[in-house]
Formats: sequence, structure tokens, C-alpha cells
Amino acid sequence: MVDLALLIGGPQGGGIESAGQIGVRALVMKGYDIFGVREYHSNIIGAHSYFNIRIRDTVARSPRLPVDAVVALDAESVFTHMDDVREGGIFVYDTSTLKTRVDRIAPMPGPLKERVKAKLSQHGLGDTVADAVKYLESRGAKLLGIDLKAAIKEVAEKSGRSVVSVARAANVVGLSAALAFLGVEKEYVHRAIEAYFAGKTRVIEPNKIAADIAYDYVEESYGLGNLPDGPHKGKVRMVASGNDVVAMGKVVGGLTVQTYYPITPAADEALYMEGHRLVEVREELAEKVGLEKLGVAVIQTEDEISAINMAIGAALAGARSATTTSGPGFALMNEAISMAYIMEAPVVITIWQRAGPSTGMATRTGQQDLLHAMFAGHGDAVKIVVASGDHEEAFYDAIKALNWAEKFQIPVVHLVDKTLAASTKSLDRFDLDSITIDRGKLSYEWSGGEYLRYKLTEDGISPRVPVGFAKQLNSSLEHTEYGYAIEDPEVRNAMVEKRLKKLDAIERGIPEDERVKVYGSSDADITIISWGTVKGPVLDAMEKLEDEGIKVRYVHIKTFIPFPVRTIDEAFKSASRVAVVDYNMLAQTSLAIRMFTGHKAPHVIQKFTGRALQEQEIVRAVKEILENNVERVVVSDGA
Amino acid sequence: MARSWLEYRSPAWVQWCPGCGNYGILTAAFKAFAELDLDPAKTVVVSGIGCSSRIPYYINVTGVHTIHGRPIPVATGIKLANPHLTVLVMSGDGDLLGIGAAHFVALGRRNADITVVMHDNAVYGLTKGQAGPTLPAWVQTKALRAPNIQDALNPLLLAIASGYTFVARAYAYHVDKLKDIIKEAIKHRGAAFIDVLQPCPTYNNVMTQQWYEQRIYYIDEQEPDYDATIKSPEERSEKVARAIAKAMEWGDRIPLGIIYRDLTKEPFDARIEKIMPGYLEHPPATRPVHYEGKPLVDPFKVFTDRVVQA
Amino acid sequence: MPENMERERRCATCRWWRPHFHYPIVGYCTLWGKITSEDDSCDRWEPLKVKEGRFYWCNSCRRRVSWEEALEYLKRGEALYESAYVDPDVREEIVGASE
Ligand SMILES: Cc1ncc(C[n+]2csc(CCOP(=O)(O)OP(=O)(O)O)c2C)c(N)n1
Ligand code: SF4
Ligand SMILES: [Mg+2]
Repeated sequence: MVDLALLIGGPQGGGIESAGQIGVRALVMKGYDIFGVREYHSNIIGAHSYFNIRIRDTVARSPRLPVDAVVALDAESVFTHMDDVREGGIFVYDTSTLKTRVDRIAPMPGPLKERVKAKLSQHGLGDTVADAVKYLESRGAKLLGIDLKAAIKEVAEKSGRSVVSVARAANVVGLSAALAFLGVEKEYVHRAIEAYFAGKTRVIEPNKIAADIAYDYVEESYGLGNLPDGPHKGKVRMVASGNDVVAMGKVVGGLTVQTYYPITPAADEALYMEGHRLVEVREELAEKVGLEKLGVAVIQTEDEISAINMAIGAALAGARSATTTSGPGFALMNEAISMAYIMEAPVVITIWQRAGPSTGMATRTGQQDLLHAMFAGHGDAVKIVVASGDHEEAFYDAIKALNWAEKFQIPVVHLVDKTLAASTKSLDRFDLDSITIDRGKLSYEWSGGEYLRYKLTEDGISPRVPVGFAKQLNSSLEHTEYGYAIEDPEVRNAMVEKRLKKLDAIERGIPEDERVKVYGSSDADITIISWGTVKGPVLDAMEKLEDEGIKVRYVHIKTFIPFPVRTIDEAFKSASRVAVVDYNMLAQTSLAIRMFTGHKAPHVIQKFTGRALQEQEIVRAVKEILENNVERVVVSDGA
Repeated sequence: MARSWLEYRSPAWVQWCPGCGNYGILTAAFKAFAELDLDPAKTVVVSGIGCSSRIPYYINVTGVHTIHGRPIPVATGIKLANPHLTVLVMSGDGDLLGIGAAHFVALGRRNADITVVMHDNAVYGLTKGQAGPTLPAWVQTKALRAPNIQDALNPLLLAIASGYTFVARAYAYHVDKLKDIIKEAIKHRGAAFIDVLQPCPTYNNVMTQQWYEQRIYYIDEQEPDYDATIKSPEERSEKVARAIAKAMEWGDRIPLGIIYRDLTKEPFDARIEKIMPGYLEHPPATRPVHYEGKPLVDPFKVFTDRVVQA
Repeated sequence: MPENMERERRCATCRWWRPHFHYPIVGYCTLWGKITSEDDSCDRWEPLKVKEGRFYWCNSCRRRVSWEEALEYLKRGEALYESAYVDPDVREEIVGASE
């Protein structure tokens, strides 16, 4: 079984992104499944960032530490990741930084400097990169020092040009050294470079030479590694981020308007979509719909208040409509969410959660907006809340969210997070046949006399004719069936009952298996309940724990409104032990569970650092709970 | 005329105070819509929250009564989704220039083909008479507990600076004059703004009907040579300067009429069409999104920048 | 840079040289128009002169400094330059917005 992990660290803007993307592509071409998460500071260039790539022949879905190879191309990366490589793993570093002292690295956070110095001094070492290298040797890592200066010069000489993109050359050297050591053939790296820099010959050649230099060097020093081809060889796959797949899901799901105000980590979704605002219709359907190309209007607004209100306006006019944001932006949308609810406007709000409170740690992850999402909207406003655990789920959920919004004529929040946004995943073809686009009771014609936008119906859902196709009133005030403002107690009651019926329709219309997914069996030693990107690390930890004889069941919540009451209740009743993984301070998931089911989770596993949750953290936490019966385990792996 | 203006009157009871200037604006709207023979289904009046914002209930066209300050983004969304509709925003000074000022500016920058009619009573009528953004400093209207210590802003200057391509001022009780300006604004292709001076006898006891009528005059009557219509970009600096000077007139004499018009700037929908050809013919409101429930897009054929051959 | 090193006529101490922002072991020579390494040299070497009113790049503290600060830092032996060299395609390497 192949299960490897590779970490590439360096200064933001310093080539880490292309190195990571080239590495991921080479590994996918080699036939492996890939999950690569990007960790970065709220900074444009210069602060430390890294890519942690998981490589598996089964399914890659979480980061783990320690990794099998670290590529540290600056001194800060050496110090930051000197504990992240496993015994026998390889650590690539630049020999020209050997004399650099911790204190001379300006961007490095003070407390980290102190921790590094303390650690090195415990081992009787000083505070230079050379000392860190000694420390790594003592930990059993294989050191691969590369003279980067010489390598960059060599690239320049061999390619016959000045290497204007020094960072890329440097990173490709480092990455290639690690891949050579792991046993990925050079051809894959060459192909990946060609694919990633498609069309830019000026860039391709020097980078291939950079790869050659590294491969020669590893061959001489350690010998090239040996890795069999992975099981996906020969397939056509995708390599995409969570931001990408949500954009794809929306476009495939028939979105026609997306509004947004720039915010991390949501903006990249909108930008990717804008880059694809004109898409081709499937060949077999082009004739049927009489169009070859479809447009998606992606509009940058003046603020998030405008973004949600504009999306609502578009929805009223008949567009399939969404907006994308993060916690701070969603906070500004609060009032309009309530309007969308009483106006019965179908709109999707994608929330890419990041670490708060307030601006907090804007480029880091978390699940702190669960209750915010559930309860946003004053005055008894309700919405559907659906959360995605991985890239595939996010793609299909984006479509589902659009369907539910139109079917139930209600706002739908799609909860995702920064881990998903910034992680790159290899993906197989999506199952287009499984996708249905549902527009509910929408029609563009009206001949039944006066159109009643809020007609009282059996299921609480009124026929929907867009603005422009039947004279009508849409109102944020309590209204009559036509839409006139009214405060009459009986009409009020009738309208509240109508909206309650609609909630019943949602209860009936979203079956349990769309609300929750259960992995493993009820005779497990422990049942873990969680949601979102906790899924990957938990499923991976399940495998690891199983090997050690510990059986885990995982209950993955998909929708918080409507809540999977039956399954969660059953899980508590049947499980010997229950732990909730909650990536937030308040244990919000546990609170939601308690609110809906009355069950109080006896154990909670929490993380606050804003770094992606990792497999080994869950393994450790589960053991801690089973062995020592601790109530609360806080994990914090990852630099 | 195909429709009588009475057809645009809705059956709802109008709940404004007896002397309210809003009645004048409402009647002018009826008449303008009738003279333009607007289709009630395809004509959309969007409002925020305030006394004036009740107006969608009173006009028998399609109406959207939104939340305080946000009619402009909602209207922009409607117009974005379906550029073939006639879209008006009719809202108060507090709504448009207080809480909603960011959107007011943004609409000008986009030059979306929307007509904004501002019911300018210089107070927050519905919340019982607090100072509005157009109430001058040191004025103390009836409901204020102390004189106003915030300056008034000049809506016309803000509109010109924001990029509105039609800027006018009118008076609520001169119904026929107001009607003509509303018609011109609707016919204009681009963002149009009409600042309608609207007496609020209940709360604004300073800027009363009498106060206005002693001061207002019509530019086209008294200065027939006034021309601030930009027909080519070269005229811009001169005519903007002229319009700004006119917009600054306030006090003993208050000019009414079309202050500024720019015929050279393309509206938002034309801009979208440029970056997304086909938009006007198949706008977001009506373009196909599925075929018998099947998706129209294959991600592996469209997002080829993410496809990798393993 | 200590004084004895400054006398060393290396790219790293030359007024024409811009250290690479991310990998300052190499840099861009504005005189020859190419990437050189910090310990390359040539006969056109000149020391940096701080001019009034300008800003400089302090590679030790990794920030831009005013000419007043630059004079002081130069005395202290810090690595000062007219500016840093940033890869022309750095924008493509910055993914994920901040805040
Ligand atoms: C978010 C929000 N804040 C405050 C209010 C209370 N409010 C209702 S109307 C209004 C002011 C209305 O003034 P204006 O827009 O000038 O309309 P007018 O009543 O004068 O026509 C305010 C502040 C509200 N409805 N919503
Ligand atoms: S308070 Fe003023 S604006 Fe409101 S209805 Fe009465 S007169 Fe009109
Ligand atoms: Mg007002």
C-alpha cells in the first residue's frame, strides 16, 4: 500500500504554489490519488507558507504529519518544519543558508523563534540552520542539501538565459529532489511542468532543466527511489481546489447569476467562475436547447449587503442565483436573509468559513460559523443549511443547494471552509446522470387571472412566476396572498402557517440519507460525530485505528437544517461512547446536537489553530478518550 | 394612449398623511406610466423602507418592497437578470442617501438602466421625524430635540460625481412637470436620478410647501439656453462644470428640471454584453439552465484547465 | 555587512545589485541586466550611496527604510540596497486572498 506525504515550505509568493501544483500533477499522472492542503499567512509576499500533499493508492483525503519528505528552501522553513519529517524521511534544504541564525529571520513569529531555540538548545545545539540540520540528523532524517545558488546558475547556463523567475527554478529543484527520492520518474515531472505552464515555452525549458539537475543530484547522493505506478494510471482526471469545484457545481447546476464582494477564502470561487463565464453546452444537448454557449453573470458588488440583495433581486426575476462570502460578509447579509425568507426568494449563500472572531486569522480554517449560519436572520427567519465534507460533496451540494432553494423557495446556506477552499484534490469524472436540476414550481407563463405570489397551498409553496412575467407584489412586510402589506391577525396566522407548512415540506422533501452519512458499524468502540472537512481526517484515522484493533464509527452531518434527528438520536442510544469533533471554541456542533436531540456529547475533540485537521490528531485524541476517558481533547498539529 | 392613468392605481388604501407630498409623486408616476404605456407586468417599482417606500403597494405594476436602504441592489439584481424590464427605484432620502448611500454611489458607477426617484422630505418620516441626510445643519424641525448638527449633502452633486448619466430635480406638487421628468428619466438609457423635493407637513415644518414655492424655478423656463447634455466625450469637462454650478444653487433660488445628462456612457447591460456576448439575447432570468432536468454543462469539457491525463 | 566584507567587491555589496526578494542568495544586476549570485563580482563594482529623500531595501530586516534609517543601518553593517528584485510572475504564485 502506498501512503506518502510531502511538505513544501517557503516564503509566500516564492514559488510554493507552482511547485505544489506541479508536484500534485506529477503524482496524479503517476496514477495516485492526491490531497494537498495549502497553509498560508494573511500576507501578500514574504511570510511563511507551505503545501502539505498526501499521496495514496486508495483515497487521499487528509493531511498527516510527520511526512515522508520535506522541501525547505529557505531558512525559516527549515526551522519551522524540523519536527515534521518522519524518521528515515528526506529533508531537502539549501546549503547556502547554513549559517543563518533564527533571530535573523525577520518574518518569523517571535514565539516560534523562541520555541525553536529552546528545542535546539535542549539538544545542546546552537541556533543556526546548520544546528537544525544536526538536530534533523539526530532524529534519523536523511538530509539532502542542495546548493541553490549553484543550481540556479546551472539552470541559467544550461537554458542559455537569465532565469528571471528565480523562485520557480528554486522550487522546482527542491520539489524534484523530493520526488526523485520518493521514486516518481523524471518524465512525470517534465510532463507536469508542461501541463502546468501550458503554452509558456519561455518558462517550461528552464524548469525542466531545474528538474534534471535535482534528479542527477539525488541519483548521485542517495540513488533514485522506486515507486510503482498508482492505480489511476491512464484515467482522465481533474486536479481542482474546493473553490474550483463549488464554482463548477454551481455552473453545472445551472447558476446564472453570482454576486460577491472580495473576501478570503471565497473570492477565488467567484474569480474562477468569472474566468469561465461563457461555457459550452454539452454537445448532445446544444441542439435541443438551441444554444452553444451559456453565460454566467459574475458581478463584484460594493459590499456584501449589496451582494445578497442583488442576488435576491436576480432570483425574483427568475435567475438561478447565488452569492459567496465568508463569516464577516455573511454577518452583513443577516437582514437580507430574513427578507429572502419572507419574500420566499430562492437564493444560495456559500459561506467559506475562516478563523474568527472578527478578522481573527483570515487565511486559516475553522467551523466557527455553524450557529451563525443556522440562526442568521432576525424574526423567525428560517433557511436550509447544508455542509460539505470534501470536494465531491461540495460539487454535488452546490447543485443540491440551488435545487432546494428553488424547490422550497427559501434561502439555502452552503457551509464550507478554508481547508476545502485551499486544498487541491484529484477527482474522477462526476456522474452527470445522477444530477437532476429542479426548479420547483417555477413557470414563465401565467394565465390564471390575477397572479398571487404568496398563494396559500397544501405544501406552503406557491406557484412561482418571476417578476416580469406576471404583475405581482413581493414584500418584506407581512402580506396578503397577492403581496399587499397587512397586519390583520388572521392573515398573519395564515401566512405563518403557510411558512410552517413549507418547513414540513422541507422535512419531508429532504430524506435522512441526504442529511447524514454513517461510516462504520454500531458495534464500534467509539462513535465520532462531526461535519465538514473533519470527514477526511476522521475516515483516515478510522483506518489507522482499525489496524490497531480500535473500531470507530463516523456520523457525518450533512444538513443542520433540517437536522438528522433520527440518526443522531440512534447513534447516541446505540454507541458505547460518543465524541464530537468541533473545530471551534464553543463546541457549536455539540450545542446543535443538544438542541435538536437533547443528547449531550460526553467527549469533544477541539482545534482552534486554524490549521487543517490531520489524521494523526484524531488517532491520538480517540486513544486519549478511550484510555483516559478525558472529556475534552484539544489538538493543534501543523505549523 | 392605450391605458388611462387610473388603471395604474391599485386598490390598496394609501396611508400617507393628508398633506403629504408623496401624493404628488404617486400621481405623477401614474401619469408618466400611462403616457409611456408601460406594461404592468414588465414594469417594476422597487422601494426600501420609509413612508415613501410604501409606494409599490399603491401603483398597479409589479412591485418589490425590500428593506431599509437596499432597493438599489435588489433593483440592480432584477435588471441584471432581465435587462428587458423597466425598473424604477422609488424611495426616501434616508433610505437612499443615509443607510443606502454606498449603493446609491455604486449604481452611478455601473450606469445601470434604472430610474431612481428620491422622495426628498429631508426627514425620516416613518421613524417620526429625525433629521434626514438632506436636512441643513442648525435647522430644528418639529420632532428634533436639538438643532441638527450634521450638514446636508447635495444629492445632485453626489449623483453627478457617482456617474449617473441623468440628473434632475423636481417638486412633488407640480405633478405635470414631475411627470415629464419621470418620463424623460425612464426613456434615458442609463442610471437616472430625480431628486423630488417633497414637503412633509407632519415633520418638516421648516421646508414647507410655502417655503419651496417661494424658491423654486424651472431652468427651462428661466434659462432656455442652459444646456448640460453631453453628446460627445469632448464636451464633458465643460458641461459637468456647468451642471455642478447649477447643482450648487440652493437657498433663495432652487433650480428645477434636468440638470445634467450624459449620452456618451454605455449602460451596464451593454458593458456585460461586451464581456459576455449573448447576455442580452439570453439573459440570466430566462436562459436555459437544464434540458428535461439534465445539466447542460459537462465540467470535464468546460473546466479543461483543471483536467489532467494520468 | 561588516566593513571588511563591504570592501569585498561582491554583488551583494554593490550599488547596482538587487537581492532577490525570496531567495536573496541570488539577485538581479541592473548594470548587466542579469541574475547573479551574491558572491559574484565584476570590475564595475560600486558601493551604495544613500541619497536624501529616497527609500532603500534593508534585506536584514526585510522591509523598506527611509534614507535617514538607511544611513544608520549602513553604519551598523546591515545589507542595504536600492530595492529588492521580485520575480515578474510573482502574482501567479500568490494564491488565496488575504483577509
Ligand atoms: C436596518 C433598519 N434600520 C432602521 C430602520 C427604521 N427605519 C424605518 S424607515 C426609516 C427612515 C425612513 O426615512 P426615509 O428613507 O427618508 O423615508 P421617509 O419615511 O422619509 O419617506 C428608518 C430609519 C429600519 N427599518 N431598518
Ligand atoms: S410623515 Fe411626512 S412623509 Fe410620512 S406620510 Fe406623513 S407627511 Fe408624508
Ligand atoms: Mg425622508
